[in-house]
Formats: sequence, C-alpha cells, structure tokens
Amino acid sequence: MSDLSKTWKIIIMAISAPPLLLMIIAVILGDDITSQAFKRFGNALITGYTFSAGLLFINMFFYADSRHRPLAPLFGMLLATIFGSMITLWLLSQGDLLLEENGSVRAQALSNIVRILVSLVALIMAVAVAIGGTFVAITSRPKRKLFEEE
Amino acid sequence: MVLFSPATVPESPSSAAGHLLGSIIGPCALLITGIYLLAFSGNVEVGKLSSTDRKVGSACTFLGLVWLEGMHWWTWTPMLNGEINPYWLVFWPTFLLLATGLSSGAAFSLRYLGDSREQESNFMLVISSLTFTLTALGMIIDGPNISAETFRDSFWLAVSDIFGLGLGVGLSILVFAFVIWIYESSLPPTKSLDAPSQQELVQASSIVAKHIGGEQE
Repeated sequence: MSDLSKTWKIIIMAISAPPLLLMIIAVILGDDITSQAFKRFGNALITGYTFSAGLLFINMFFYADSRHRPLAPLFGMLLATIFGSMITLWLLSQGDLLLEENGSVRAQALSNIVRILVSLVALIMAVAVAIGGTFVAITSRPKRKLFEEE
Repeated sequence: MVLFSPATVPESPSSAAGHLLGSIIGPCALLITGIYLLAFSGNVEVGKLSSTDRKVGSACTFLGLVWLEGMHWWTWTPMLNGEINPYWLVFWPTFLLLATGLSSGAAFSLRYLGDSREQESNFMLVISSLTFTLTALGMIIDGPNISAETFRDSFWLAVSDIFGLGLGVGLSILVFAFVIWIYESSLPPTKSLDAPSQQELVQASSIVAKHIGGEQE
C-alpha cells in the first residue's frame, strides 16, 4: 500500500471516528428509536436524491454546452429527476411507511425539503468551523523560514 | 419573507423554518465574522487586518459560541408557540456531529499531509474534542429546555439524516455519471487520420531541416 493511500485512510478514519464514538455512547445510554430513525433515513435518502438530481440536471446544461448541445443526456437526467420525485411521492403516500409527525404527504414533503436546507446550513457552519479553524491555526503561527538565505 | 413568516403566518408549521433562521442568523454571523477576522489578522502576505480586528474577531467568535451554547444549555433555546423549534433539534446535533468529525479530519490532514504542522493539528484536535465533549454532555445532562433523552433522540435522527443525505446525493451522482457514460458510449468513434505518405514525410523533413542546424547564421 502506498504512503499516500495510507494517509488518506487515516484521514477518513479520523473523520469517522468521533461520530462513531458518539454513536457508541448513545447506544450505551440506550434508547430504541429504530422506527423513527429508519423513517428519517428513508426521507433523507429520497429527498437528497431528488434535490441533488435536480441540481445535477441544471449542471447538465453546462455539459451539453461543451458537447454541441445534445438533448439525450439532458432528457436522461430530467427523467432521473422526475423518477426521484415520483418515487418520493409514492413512498410518502404509503401510509405510515415514511410519514413522520406530519398529517399529509404534502406536509411531509415540505418538511423534508426544509430539513435538508437546515442540514445544509449545519453542514456549511461545520465546514466553516473546520476550515476556518485550520486557517486561523496556520496564520496565527509566526512566519516560518522556507530557506536559510531568507 | 421566510424570516418574517412566524409573525405573518404564525399558525403555519412551515414558519418554524423562518423562526429557526431568525434565531441562528445572529450567532452564525458572529462566528463566521470572528473566524474571518482571526484568520486574516494573522500572518498573511496580502491584505493583513489590524490587531484591533484580531481582538474584535476573538470577541465575535467567543460571543457566537456562547450564544449557540446558550441555546442548548441556557434559556435561549429557539421556542415557537411554547415548544422547542423542531428544526433546532435538526440543526444543533447535525452541526456538532459534523464539526467534531471534520475538525478531527482537518487535524489529521495537517499532521500527515502538512510539513511540521503539529501545533496547528493540536489546535484542531482541541476544537474536535470540544465539540465531541459538548455532544456527549448533551446526551448525559439535561438542559433547561432540552432533556438528555430528547437530545439523544435528535442525535440519532441527525445521524440518519446525514447517512440518508450522503447516500441519496451519492446515488444521484452515480445516475449522473451513468447518463453521461451512456451518451458518450453511443457516440461514433472519432475518425483517425491515415498514416503520412512518403511524399508528405519528405516534405515534413525538408521543413524541419530548414529550421535546425543553424548553418546560415
């Protein structure tokens, strides 16, 4: 195994270790919310798919621009997005399968969209803290000499 | 409009999103401004900010953190119609969970990819440990508005949210790649040129010969 791939493995482990430890603590403290967690996972998966397929469909216009504007990939991605939306609505209308504390399919779909936006805000803030903190740490140190001649 | 929705349509459940946005915009703006001021008042080559900006940055970061913590550990929790804003219970555990993981990733990146960056790496490990401890404490100790049990439930839901979102986004990227691959593989292969003839080779070598050697100079 090359040194670089070993380094990346260590970094990926470093990213996942604290959340995994927190999950172990939560398991030890013991609450059973499997059903709610499954519903949330399902809702996040279908909403995440549809949301990001929609964004990638828009991105497909840029790809089409670099390829003499073919219609086939645009149509393909549009179909994938519509498929995601249809599956979302169908799964939400299957009674108690994915409905959380919302009375209707429309309310659940809206709640999913709002939640994905709130999660994105949380992600942006976490990235700002991690990357911003790294910059603060780097720039707070006295300037280093790269060469003795400096 | 979203920010004012709790006042204009208080009976609508979706106004909770506007209420949360209004509640977290202050501490988040303070935190980001503080980090920006701290980063650019340090040793940067261009556009260095003054030492006063550094003090303001430290104060902003501290206030932003205290404000956010006060929303969990004190009475500043975003409340809507006498209940905790449900989206706060999405935002807070998701932020803590991602912040602890990403800070730890940044710490190890500095250590293994950077050159003599142990001090910076330790600083990031402190941030990761701090967010880790806050999450663990939230699971064990009751806050004035949010009990440990409620926080643990929200934590699991945040974990499900992150895994679901990651998988959903990954799936859509795979579909995107698949659509492009199908289209690219349906294109006819590009026509390759025939090998140069003897006459073309002679012409090319005469042109090359004109430009090398330097006898004329």
